[in-house]
Amino acid sequence: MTEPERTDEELLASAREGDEDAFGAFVRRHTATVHRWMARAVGEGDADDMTQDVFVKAYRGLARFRGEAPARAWLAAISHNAVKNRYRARSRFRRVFAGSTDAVPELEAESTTAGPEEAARTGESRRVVAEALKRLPPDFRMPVVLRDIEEWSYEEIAVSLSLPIGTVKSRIARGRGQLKDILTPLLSGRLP
Amino acid sequence: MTETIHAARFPEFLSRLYDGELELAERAAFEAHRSGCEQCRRAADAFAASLAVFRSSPTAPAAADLSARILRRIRAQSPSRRPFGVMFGIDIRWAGAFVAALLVVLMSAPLLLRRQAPVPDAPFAIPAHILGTTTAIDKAKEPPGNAGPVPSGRPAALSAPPAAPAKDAPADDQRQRSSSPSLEAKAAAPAPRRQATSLERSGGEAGAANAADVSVSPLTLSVRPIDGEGPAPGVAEQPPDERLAVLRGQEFVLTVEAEGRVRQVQPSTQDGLLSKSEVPEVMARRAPRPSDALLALRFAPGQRPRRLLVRIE
Repeated sequence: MTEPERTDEELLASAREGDEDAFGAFVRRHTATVHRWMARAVGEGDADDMTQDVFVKAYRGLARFRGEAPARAWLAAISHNAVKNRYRARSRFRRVFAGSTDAVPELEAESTTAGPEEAARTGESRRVVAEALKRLPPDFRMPVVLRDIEEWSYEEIAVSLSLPIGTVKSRIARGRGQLKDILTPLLSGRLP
Repeated sequence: MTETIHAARFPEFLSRLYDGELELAERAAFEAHRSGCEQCRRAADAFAASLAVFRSSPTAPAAADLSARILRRIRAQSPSRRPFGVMFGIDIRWAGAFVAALLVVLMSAPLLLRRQAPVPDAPFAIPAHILGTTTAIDKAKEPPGNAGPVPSGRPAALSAPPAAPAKDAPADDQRQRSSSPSLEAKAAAPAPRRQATSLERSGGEAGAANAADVSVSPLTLSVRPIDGEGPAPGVAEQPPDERLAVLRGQEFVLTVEAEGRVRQVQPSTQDGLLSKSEVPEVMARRAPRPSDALLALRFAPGQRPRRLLVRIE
């Protein structure tokens, strides 16, 4: 007879009491999901590191998890903040040391030069999409990922990210619009 | 009409269209427009196509050991993490309880100590610190030759053989000393520790010993007059030894009526045993008083009431 699977809330409650095995089970349960979010939000190259960051922050913030929202919503909020902080830090670094005032869209812009033809020729939409996502403002990434990849409702996203639902809808619409503007020429073989 | 024609320029409109959130009339109007507007048709189609690509594009799965790496990193960065409430290796919850318990103990200690004042071996036992102190009265009574320091704090009479009273000593004092030269030494010694082994009589004392009834040692009463009215009257009647046994080693001042009945019993204040101010306190916290047994003593009738110093050995 197998032991009934513990819920996320039970695991986190045990983890708060010092049960590291419980937190280990929680990590194993959600690693793939958070990694998927991060692969979309920051690219596959940095997804591993960002996934680790998210769980480390979750572990440090265990005391603040009240169980009022699902654990995955809590993880989404941590992920959203991690993405924003990552690019905020990079932007600050660029402004200070490179004298650039440009924001995120210029990240790894050089790699886009080989994008459209290669994408059209090999069908590697995966890389094209990754490039498109990198050009999205950080504030738009997790809402778009949660809505269009994870298929969360607007209400769930609003609760998770602690944003008004109108703000969430606006960010998702603008993010989708930017994706369309970026992806359409890439997919049609033209540079943006 | 113009708004409907170019609605596809706005991502909010396209997003609502994509999510199926447009009103029926709104959607019908846009569909009617799109059928005749190449620009809006292409915009709406591109929007849907880009999202379809976005949603369907695969991502590399997480590495198999990613969870393990995460947990290793957490342990490496937080090796000392303990349950909520643990700081610096100390469980502050238990520490808080310990501090609270300590405060309770500290606050209640004075109360407990006050209640559990030193319980003597026998009622009216006099604290050692009092027994070992020589009062100014005693010093005044001591002969000049015995005024040197005594390490034990006991009167010099204990350390030196009884000396002849000084010539310039008061007559009354001389009379008392000459009548009972060994009594000072007995009274000054720590009463509970001393075991009398012989019947002692001084002045007009009338001792009573019933060795057969006492299991440890024979009980003796030493009676000495302290009122300067002549020799002590004899003991005419004595309570059973078992009642007096608890008073062994103690001294009391008895006020005896002329007819021989004991009217009052007080712990001795002589020889520095108790100051007069301490007597009421000592008596107040000793109830009932075993010294009441001394009230059963009867002395030989005399001319007037007497004050007698009685020591039970």
